[in-house]
Amino acid sequence: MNIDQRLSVLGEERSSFLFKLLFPIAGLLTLLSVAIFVLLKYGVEVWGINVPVAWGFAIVNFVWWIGIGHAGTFISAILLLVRQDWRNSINRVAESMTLFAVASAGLFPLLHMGRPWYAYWLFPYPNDMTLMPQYRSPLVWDAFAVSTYLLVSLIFWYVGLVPDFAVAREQTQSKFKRTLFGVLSLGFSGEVKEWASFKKASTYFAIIATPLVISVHTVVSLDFTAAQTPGWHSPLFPPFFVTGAIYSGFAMVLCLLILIRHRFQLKDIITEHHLESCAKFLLMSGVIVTFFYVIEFFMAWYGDEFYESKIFINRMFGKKNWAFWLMLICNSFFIQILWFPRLRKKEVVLFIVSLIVLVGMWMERYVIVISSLMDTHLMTTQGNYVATRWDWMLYIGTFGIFFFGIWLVLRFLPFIPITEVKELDHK
Amino acid sequence: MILYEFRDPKDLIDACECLKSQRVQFGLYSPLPEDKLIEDYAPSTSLVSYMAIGGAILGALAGFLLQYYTNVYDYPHNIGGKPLNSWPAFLIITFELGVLCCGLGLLGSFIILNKYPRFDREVFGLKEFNERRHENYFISTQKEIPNVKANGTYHLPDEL
Repeated sequence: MNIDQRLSVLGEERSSFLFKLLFPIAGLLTLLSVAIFVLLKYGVEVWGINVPVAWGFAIVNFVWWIGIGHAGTFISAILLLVRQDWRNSINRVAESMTLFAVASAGLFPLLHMGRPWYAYWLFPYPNDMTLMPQYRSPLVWDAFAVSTYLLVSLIFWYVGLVPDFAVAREQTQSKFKRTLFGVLSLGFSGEVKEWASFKKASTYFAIIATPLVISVHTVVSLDFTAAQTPGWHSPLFPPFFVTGAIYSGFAMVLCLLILIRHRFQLKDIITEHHLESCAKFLLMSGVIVTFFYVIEFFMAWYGDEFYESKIFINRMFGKKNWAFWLMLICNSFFIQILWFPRLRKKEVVLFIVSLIVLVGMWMERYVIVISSLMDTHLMTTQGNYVATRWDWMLYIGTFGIFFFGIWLVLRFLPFIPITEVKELDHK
Repeated sequence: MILYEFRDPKDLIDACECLKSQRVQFGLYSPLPEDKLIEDYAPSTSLVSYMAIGGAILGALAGFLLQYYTNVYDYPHNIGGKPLNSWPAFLIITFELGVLCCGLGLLGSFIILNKYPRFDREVFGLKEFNERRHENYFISTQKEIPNVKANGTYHLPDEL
């Protein structure tokens, strides 16, 4: 079996295994549907949010999911520009992860509005209500940044797939897939003119996606920084958020790659070198994130501002101190074992560390959002936050969207980039 | 139309050079995006650059003007004494729309340059081409190539 055949029919060969996966995914999607139904019926009061903690799980989860998407663009764009050829075999999985993570993220601000059917009010359109978005607001910047990110990532992903659709079309046995891939390949014939424009467009996409990915999480961080809330109003936030995003994103990429590598017997394509390289990125971003934690505390002390210091003392010893310590242990402690090359090469170790990092990065967003809002400048705006079962159900349910998206890619699309792997082989 | 199949890139390049020296138009099909073939035989793809930069400029301009018009003329609101034209705050949406339109321009150039969707190419009529174009190289031309070392030669009926 040549490489074209092998990589084109991965999903078809393991269709019975993939079919079994549909059951847990359906369970997650059911949870999601129930959580959304209850939310729409009773309103956001079913969540744990209150005054002053008006941003609860919805914003925590939004930032977490958006962050996960970032590693996909990092792998597909930034590593392409710096000619890291090893990325070729994993970039499709990473890009797909971006798309579905951003889709999962996008659900939260929409539902947080309470009346999501008015979501289009966020965008400018001619109307007779003397209503226009406030362009000085980071929340409107967010709507533009996230929509642009989703659309550009989708176009980049699709353009990269065009030659692979042409290859997969010839290899598949399924008539449906043959027709589908034929249409999606747009009639790509491999003419040198097509390759030239393909290569050029891909490079340009990488060039625009690089500042885009940095801008998106910067804008997300500005949602916080622009506010006067203690613990948020800091110029440290944009690089802190971008690095954190890459950190959690690489953790998710590693989890997915390790599972796919095992299940689809792709050890010769997703090699130890790939896992180790991702682990190095994980370690690097983990160390930078830890450095930012230290700087945050240092600035709170050095700034000598009462409320700012109080927030950081409360994070360590206040009501939600468990979240802070859990975050620190997960993000800064366990990651250190990746300094040892021998452990960095062990799949099990990488998988467990990645899961811990995912938990840790979720805790980080929880600490940032909840602890700051619980203790603002006024005595009257001090409160508590307890997530309800509907908060949890919605969060867990979004894994349904994410995994269903990944499932579709694994089942129906060439999820290992055939052309790029062949190119690497050719070199 | 005549279609030549090559397994060895050297034979392919010899054939291409022969056709190039005779100034005969030909189509070159490769299983991979090889830099050498692209450099020597691909026609200009400057449209990609023009559409990318054009899209970026148009998008950014439209983004900025939209915010300027809205805040200065259409719905002027004094918020905290800030100037109506708060241009630093407008830069993010300007940038995002610039990137979005640049991406759309890139997609557009990819489609326009290659005249997609294009399912009716003559070469798709040849079974051998469809089966082996992802492994071997092909040249399509109207004229026979003298002394060609091809691994296969196929004559396709002329278009009506």
